[in-house]
Amino acid sequence: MQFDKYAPLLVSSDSLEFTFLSNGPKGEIRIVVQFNATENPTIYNLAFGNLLDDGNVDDTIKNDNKDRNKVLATVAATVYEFTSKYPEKFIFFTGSTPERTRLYRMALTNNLEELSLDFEIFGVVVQTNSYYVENLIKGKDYFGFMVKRKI
Amino acid sequence: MKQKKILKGADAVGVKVKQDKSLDKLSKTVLFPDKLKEANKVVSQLKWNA
Repeated sequence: MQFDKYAPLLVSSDSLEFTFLSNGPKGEIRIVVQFNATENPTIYNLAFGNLLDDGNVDDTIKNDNKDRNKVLATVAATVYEFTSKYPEKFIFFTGSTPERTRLYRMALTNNLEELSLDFEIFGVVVQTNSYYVENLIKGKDYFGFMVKRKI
Repeated sequence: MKQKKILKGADAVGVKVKQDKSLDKLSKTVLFPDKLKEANKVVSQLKWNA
């Protein structure tokens, strides 16, 4: 993604947790990214949000730090790092709100050509109480997304 | 024998990565339990469209 990114990106020993500092009009905000194994061991969930002073996290807050693309591009960098260590895993992610899910869809589709060089990219749709995975189609609404590194 | 492909990490997309062992304590904690619960609901009912 051809956007500025935050650095340094701090990473845990197992490459499942990352943090970086968002810096903007609202000051410095520590962002934490975590990859968690789901009940299906081949699929990890990606989530990120603010790391608060008390150690709790908040993934619903609107930071208004005027750096949305920079934050998303840095989160995308964590996906590169995670998948360089765990290339056989799928990553599932969705937004905390429909607006955020749309934002992620736009980020994926606007950079689809570049991202497709390194990742298989899927959309997840809800149909009759099941979730279906399909190759991402530009302009289509999705419940969530899955990516897997091309090996 | 097929050579294992070396995959580029965050540094290859312009982000310097620094290991921070203080983050290891987070590995024992699910920071976003609601998101993981939702993800588990999805993966338990996931089907692949041909």
